[in-house]
Amino acid sequence: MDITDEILIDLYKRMVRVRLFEEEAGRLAESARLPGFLHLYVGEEAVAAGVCAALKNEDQITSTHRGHGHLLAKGGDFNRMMAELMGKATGYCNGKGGSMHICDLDLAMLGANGIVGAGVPIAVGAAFANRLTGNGLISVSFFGDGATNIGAFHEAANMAAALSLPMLFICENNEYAEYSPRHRTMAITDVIERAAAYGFPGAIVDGMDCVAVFEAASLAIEKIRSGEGPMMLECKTYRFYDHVGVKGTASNYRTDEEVEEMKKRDPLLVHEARLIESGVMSADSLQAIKDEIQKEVDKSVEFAEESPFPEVEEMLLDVYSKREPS
Amino acid sequence: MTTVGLIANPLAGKDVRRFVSAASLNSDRSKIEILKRCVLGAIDAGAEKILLANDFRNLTIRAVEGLNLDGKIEEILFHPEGRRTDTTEAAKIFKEEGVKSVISLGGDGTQRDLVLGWRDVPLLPISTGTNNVFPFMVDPTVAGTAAGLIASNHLSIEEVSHQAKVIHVELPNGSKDLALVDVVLVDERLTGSRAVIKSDSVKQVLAAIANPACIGLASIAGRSNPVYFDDELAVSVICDPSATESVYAPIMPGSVSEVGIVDIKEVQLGESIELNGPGALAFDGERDFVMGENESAKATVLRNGPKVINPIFAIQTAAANKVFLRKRNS
Amino acid sequence: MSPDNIFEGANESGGTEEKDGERKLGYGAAVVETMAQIMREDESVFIAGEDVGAHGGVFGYYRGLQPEFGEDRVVDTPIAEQAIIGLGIGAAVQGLRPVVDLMFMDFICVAMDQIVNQAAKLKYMFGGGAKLPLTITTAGGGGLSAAAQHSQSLEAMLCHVPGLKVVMPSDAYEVKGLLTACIREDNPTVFIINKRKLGDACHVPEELFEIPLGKGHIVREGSDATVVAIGRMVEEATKAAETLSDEGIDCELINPRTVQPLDIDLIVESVSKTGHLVIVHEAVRFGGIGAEIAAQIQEKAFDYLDAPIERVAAPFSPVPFSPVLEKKYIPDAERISAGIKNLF
Repeated sequence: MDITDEILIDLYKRMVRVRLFEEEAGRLAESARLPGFLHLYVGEEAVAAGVCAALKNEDQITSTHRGHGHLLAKGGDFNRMMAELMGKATGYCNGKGGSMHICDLDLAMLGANGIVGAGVPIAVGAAFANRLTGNGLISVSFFGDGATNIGAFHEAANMAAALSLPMLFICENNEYAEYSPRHRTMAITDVIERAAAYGFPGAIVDGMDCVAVFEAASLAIEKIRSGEGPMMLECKTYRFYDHVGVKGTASNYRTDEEVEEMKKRDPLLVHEARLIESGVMSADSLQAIKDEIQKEVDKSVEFAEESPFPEVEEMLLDVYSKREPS
Repeated sequence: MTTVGLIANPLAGKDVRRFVSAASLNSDRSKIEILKRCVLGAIDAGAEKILLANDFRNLTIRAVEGLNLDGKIEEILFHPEGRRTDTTEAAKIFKEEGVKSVISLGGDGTQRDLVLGWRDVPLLPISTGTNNVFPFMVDPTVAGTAAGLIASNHLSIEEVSHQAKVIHVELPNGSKDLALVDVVLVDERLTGSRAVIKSDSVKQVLAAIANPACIGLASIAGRSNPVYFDDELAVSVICDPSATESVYAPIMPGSVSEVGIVDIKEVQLGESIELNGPGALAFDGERDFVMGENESAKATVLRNGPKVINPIFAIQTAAANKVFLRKRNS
Repeated sequence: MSPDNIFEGANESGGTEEKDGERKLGYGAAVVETMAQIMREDESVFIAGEDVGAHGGVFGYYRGLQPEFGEDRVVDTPIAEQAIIGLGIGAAVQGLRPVVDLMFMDFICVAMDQIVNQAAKLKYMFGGGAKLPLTITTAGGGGLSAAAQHSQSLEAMLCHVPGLKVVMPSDAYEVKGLLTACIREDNPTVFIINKRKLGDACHVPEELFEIPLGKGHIVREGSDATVVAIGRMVEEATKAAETLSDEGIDCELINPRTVQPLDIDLIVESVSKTGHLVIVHEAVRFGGIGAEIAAQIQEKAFDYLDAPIERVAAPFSPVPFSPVLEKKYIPDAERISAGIKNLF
């Protein structure tokens, strides 16, 4: 595929949108301005950006508890996201979902998910619907390395393979299942070996490089769309913040040195260097993009803070399909 | 101390070519089993010590678990980071330690990384990669035995090895790099996922080993004008999708492409040839360096590479020398 | 005996027959007929589950569908309950109307996350954005010596989860009307097929019709005691009511048809007339749906009650295997009669 300047810039914007929104959300959480749990995606932006840029808008994705990045990379709206994080009526879920359940069906984003691994079977269903209706779309499930120790993942992988469904499995292998290092929780190191076990191809790519992810995802997507059944792309990545929040817990499950070492491979820095070296963008124009997006982020904070909390009546609405109290 | 070095690339045979070709997945488990057979073969052949280059998957360490070879196993002090440079760093340590023979699991790319650290390493490469022009497809017990026989001086390295050619490349930024099989200029502006997938992106192939029976970009040259391991030659092929002549070449496992050929030229050892930008340079199959419009790289092929141990020939030589016959005590 | 053999009879007697000019259809056959008619009129409906296709379901209630609708719409899946429900959820969010089968109701436990945390809550968590027209069919109830993991009535667990609708047809007529309603419904429904009823036939109209979810049915009017019976217990309670009628106790029998939503108004109205309430279900008494009904009645109709509310239900043990024990375990007409008489 030809990776044009437009694609390179688009990848950058997608990553910056995730990064700046999440850094802001992290600051708000630290200053106790956001309720609930916040699982930040910072460090893993190349995966969401690379994969979403390779998809059609209508291709469905299912996400994880660390789901802001997926929705933002697919074009999610800052205002509605920030409002949802604050539990406001103007949020994506009318303030009833929060960070872990953020979704946008218009963007074919079928929801972040508070249950590890639970989005994978749902993506199987979307893939099934795509094939049955012949709409030419594929579904993508993002999941972490830890999710692949859960039964739902295995059932879904086997079913997608057995039914030969148009589905792309994206493993975001950040080496930690919450606070447990990967080697303590599984006896294999590469999750794609699990794809092989169910009879479909898997490949590993550098998940800190958006171009590598984009290219690899594009190759897989083309094959999946042409009816070759499911595939798995394992993106070796890393989260810069803790499992929850910014500072997280005080436990020593990983060293500061390790985190600092990985930050040298910051997907934004990697891509910025490439854009400048290849003459696609100057440092100034990169900064201009960041400034612009930061303004949008700032506006979203304003929007969210000025938005009302939901009325109490909202609590009983949407339990069932009609907007009537349950 | 008679020492065999052992190293495996955990990431070999796992890249995106699995999406677009019939390349198989080489799992950690299968690599561990290969390593185990190498160790047992080498010890049986008389190696007194196996020096393990740890990798970030602990493949070599897991391979010796439960073998009760504690006195004979040593790990090098080395912190793998899960990157290509791990292999290069380990090779430097092997060299410092005076290892007699190195068994290295991987494809062409892995062997190149190793040679970057120790250019004339006594090497027994075993194929666990995607494209495997350089390494051998051989039973690991046999490979371990061959390496062990050399380490224990039952065979001399000169007797059973052949020195490989190396393609030395001077990059436009002044740095130097090398390849063992091929350096290929592709019409790409990024290194991306590194593998070269599109046959019509290939602009020029410079191959030190152009074996028509092999898989990879070098097969373009191999099927145009074969050059073998022992030939004192290399070959350069200029490609263009609009050319009037073409060659069918398996650039990936199971994936035969038609590649337009403009020019085929034999290159003498020591002769320099230019690869002119723009484009990305792929070393032994992996895009690694991007050249701009007016940049060019200079490549020279020399026979100063690793001393490659042919395991089959080594075993046959040992048998002819009656090395395997031993006197029984009783 | 495999489930197949057990239900061979059910399928035989499950066909249609004309008797006295009235069209009769078996309970299991009603599932097949309804599915076929709905799938003919609505292309977005499909069935997926273990052995629902080539085999027609282990109870035969999907038999004949795959030959007509093909493997794409009558889908044999792996034995993977979580993924089966997930398949339904993902397809429902995409606008299809999946019917997914969990074979035995006991197996919902394997898929509880997908049912409780996903299907039931997605719409709410998404702020109303998603529609989830998902029907889960599953065979519940005991009486076949299928033992503790293939006989349970777990409807109360599901009723506790906001977002689900739980439907328990007591005869073939209700199978057709309620299943049609479930499939046309935009919410996840659990449609509990009673496996001991599969062979029982009754009058069922040929054309598709809907019985509204959440509306109970007065099976028999009476003035002395209100009997609320659920699922197959309607049949046993009917027998009990007839017996007691001879003894001078006139029972009003209510079949709620759906336990979530529950037509409590109908029960309140009846209790305010009779002053007595007996609730009958196959599930264990403790924490059963009867407890909820009793609680609501004391909230809403306390002043009308002339006696404590009586519950006739299974004792607090897993479903036993031995036919002798199981017969004692599941309420029958005799126990229901005794329960009603306790009130007087």
